[in-house]
Amino acid sequence: MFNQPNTLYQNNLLRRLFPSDLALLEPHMERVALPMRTQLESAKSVIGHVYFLEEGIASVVAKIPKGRDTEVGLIGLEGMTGALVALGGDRAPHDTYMQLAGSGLRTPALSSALSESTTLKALLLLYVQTLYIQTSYTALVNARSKLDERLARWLLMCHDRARGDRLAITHEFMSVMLGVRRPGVTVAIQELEGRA
Amino acid sequence: MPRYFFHIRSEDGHLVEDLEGQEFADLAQAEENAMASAKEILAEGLLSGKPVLTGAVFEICNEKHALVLRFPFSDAATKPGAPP
Repeated sequence: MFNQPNTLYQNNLLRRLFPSDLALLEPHMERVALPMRTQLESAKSVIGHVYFLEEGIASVVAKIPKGRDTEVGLIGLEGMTGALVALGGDRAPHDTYMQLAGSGLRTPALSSALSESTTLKALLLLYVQTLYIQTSYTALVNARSKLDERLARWLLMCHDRARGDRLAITHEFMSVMLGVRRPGVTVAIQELEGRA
Repeated sequence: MPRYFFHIRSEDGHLVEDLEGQEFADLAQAEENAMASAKEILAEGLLSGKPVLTGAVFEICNEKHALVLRFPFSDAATKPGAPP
């Protein structure tokens, strides 16, 4: 259905765009460095840019008032932020920020490009499907799986999106992502290591 | 804020070192975190059907690696305190 991947980009979506769709986006795209904790979207705010990551990992993080944060989405070079823009929306429900530093390309003009190209829309909607599936499984494991299983899944999801086998992520960060206190992460990692 | 390290001494004497530490306003806040964290770890163990770590102890050290507080996990099982 889609074009042979190009080699101009590391991002899997950009690699699979038709040249005509790339031509729609490229005039509005800028390459950006994305250090740790760079805010890509803010809850309840208009989505200014859509980011196509080339390296690093972004987390979509939901908050309960007065409670602690929990990660509800993970995005790397397979995808993009701003899935809701692809669905016709313009506001972010949650915060999205970089949890592993990287880089990418961003554009403020995705919605206008989408209205001009059905092939662009078809590809990005396929990605939104994958994100929907990821999120539904996150809901399942959050309800049914114990911490060690959730931690294992999360580490594998990060590994899928990282270069090499080393992940520079602190226990403190994992504790936010998994919605538990930090010593709980330390114990769960011990258990995983003991099992290996 | 001072950084505290939450090493975990298991019942058989094995030590799981906390190399990262975490910042708290004071020792009382660190103790509250120990209570909540131990409750969470015990609860997680119970729900997994595993033996729970009621014999474990947090050995909380300050930035100079001096032991400032021992917090037995059994306290989290028997005493009220900060929820996870």
